Amino acid sequence: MVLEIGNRYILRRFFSGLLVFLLSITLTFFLLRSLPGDYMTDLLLEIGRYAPPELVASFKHEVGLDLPLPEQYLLYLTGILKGNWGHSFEYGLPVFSLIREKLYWTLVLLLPSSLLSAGLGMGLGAYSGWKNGSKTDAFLLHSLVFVGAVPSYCWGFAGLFIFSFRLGLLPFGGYVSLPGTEPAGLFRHALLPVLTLTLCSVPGIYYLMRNSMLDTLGEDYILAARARGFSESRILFQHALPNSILPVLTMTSLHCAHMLAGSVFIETIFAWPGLGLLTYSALETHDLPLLQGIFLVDTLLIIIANLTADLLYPLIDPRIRSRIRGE
Amino acid sequence: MELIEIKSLKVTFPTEAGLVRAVDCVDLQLGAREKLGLIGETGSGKSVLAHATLRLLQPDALCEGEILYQGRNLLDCTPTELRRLRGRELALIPQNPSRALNPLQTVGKQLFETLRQAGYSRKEAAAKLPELLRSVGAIDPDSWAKAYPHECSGGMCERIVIALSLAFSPSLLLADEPTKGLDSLNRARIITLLGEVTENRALLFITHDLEAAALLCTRLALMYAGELVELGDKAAVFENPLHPYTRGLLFALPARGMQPIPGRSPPLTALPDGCRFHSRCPEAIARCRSQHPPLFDTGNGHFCRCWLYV
Repeated sequence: MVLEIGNRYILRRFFSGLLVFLLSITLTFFLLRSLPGDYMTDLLLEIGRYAPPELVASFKHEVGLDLPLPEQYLLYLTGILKGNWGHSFEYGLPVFSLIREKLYWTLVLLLPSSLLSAGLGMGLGAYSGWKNGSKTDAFLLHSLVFVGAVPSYCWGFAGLFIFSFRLGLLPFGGYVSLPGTEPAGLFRHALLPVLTLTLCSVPGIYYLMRNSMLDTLGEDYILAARARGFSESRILFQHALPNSILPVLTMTSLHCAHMLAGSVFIETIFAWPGLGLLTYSALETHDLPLLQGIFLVDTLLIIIANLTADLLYPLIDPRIRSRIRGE
Repeated sequence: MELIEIKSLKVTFPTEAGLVRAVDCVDLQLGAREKLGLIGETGSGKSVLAHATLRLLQPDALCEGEILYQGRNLLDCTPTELRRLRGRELALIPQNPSRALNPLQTVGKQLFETLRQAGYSRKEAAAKLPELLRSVGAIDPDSWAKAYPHECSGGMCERIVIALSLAFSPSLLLADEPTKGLDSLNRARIITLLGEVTENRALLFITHDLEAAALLCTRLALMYAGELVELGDKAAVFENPLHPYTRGLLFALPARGMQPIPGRSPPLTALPDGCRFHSRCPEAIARCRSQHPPLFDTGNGHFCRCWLYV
């Protein structure tokens, strides 16, 4: 049914995603080039030397940074189209394969925490809104306002302090994937970062869901269902819940994509070998090709999250289906 | 015995602006097949009265008095007892029919669910569904059943909510402004339909549409600012309206000169001393400003809350 109604819709979403993608990589390209400092100067400063200008110039010539900006930009674009994302200054390796390896480890953290925070946030929010005014609702609301007000890295440090330092139950981080590493080791290392990421995303989804549930409960069809003698659980699961999830859906998918930004802090704190840690080190060393590649992947992930929500929406909401059909 | 008997019902809501006295000491009786029109302007408390009867008011609303249904006080019923009465015995046709349907479910699914709630088996419910839709005037019940609420017109939605209330066989229908927002053709059709489906049951017809009430009902009750101001047989009220408010409403009808009543009704948080209508009343006397009139019996079951009939 979706295919039948939505070919044009899907195509349009796809093209708008492409437009956003082009705009975003253009912006990153020029922003990164306006950063003060450069790779060679920073590298030599680290060992306490000032880089001689001819060395900086010859490095820039070698990597093509001395070309005029429009030319660099064109080279960059054609490179991307051909699948050549450039080579990292720092590692000397192709950016694409570097990112691919690190992205895997980041997704190991992001996927479980996305699922957990979406489930917990929606579940708690729906329950809280349904039981509006009760003690449980007040308790959940106040504790989640607190959780959301504390920055993610504080929760990361708190987790490390309690579970690793005080109780000695979990490692301090620094996960290294060795061939034959047992899954238990991965689990023990991933537990704290996943929980921290989840903890920081739950409040946002929770508020949205709670508000949406409150709005839905004020709707006439809820009153009408009560007037027909339906049980409370039936009203909740058949009428209130499906209707209140709708507006939360888009925001939740974006929320999960935004966890990528949070993962820079979390991976740095837990020394997790993922994209976040790579971003941090690439920023430190002015590794322009690598940064460009990372931001490109970030952009792609957010666009994919958005597209997923756009494509899910008509599956759930018949009103959107009609609108698409009418377009 | 009366089917439903409302005795000195008082409904109040606490708000930031003060206590809202939405319904104030209302007494009403309704016989088993009686059709009563409850007339009043927006905010006069007529919908609140209907919702109070089904105990559907928000939790902070305070109800005092008695609502006896077949001798049983609904205000004392437990939530489970109420659930068994709602729909099954007392059915509501809600206001704004298009918003009273779940937007995510097809009309058929909602009807099916309601038929199942009414006690039909899956098979029976599936067989009964088109029949029910036909009974409210659907020529092609299948296409109605497949439609989503946003695909239905106002008149269609009104028929669907009527069908939903008839899925059970209630002994009382509470219709909350069913002709609101409909064009004259659909209005006439809905009035006819309501007349048909209430042949063997009682109807409380809530409206500000006096003519529709006159077509459907045998008795009329007029509410103003939370209280009854006139109650009597349809003919008596139309031919010999006692309360100046009733007379005002009749003169406001297009057929009788379309003269609106000047001013507006008082806020329910700050009701005036004396008669609640005195500031808009062309016949007000000194007593109306200071003393609140009781509901006088003027004979033949015709009641009026006005000092002119002492």
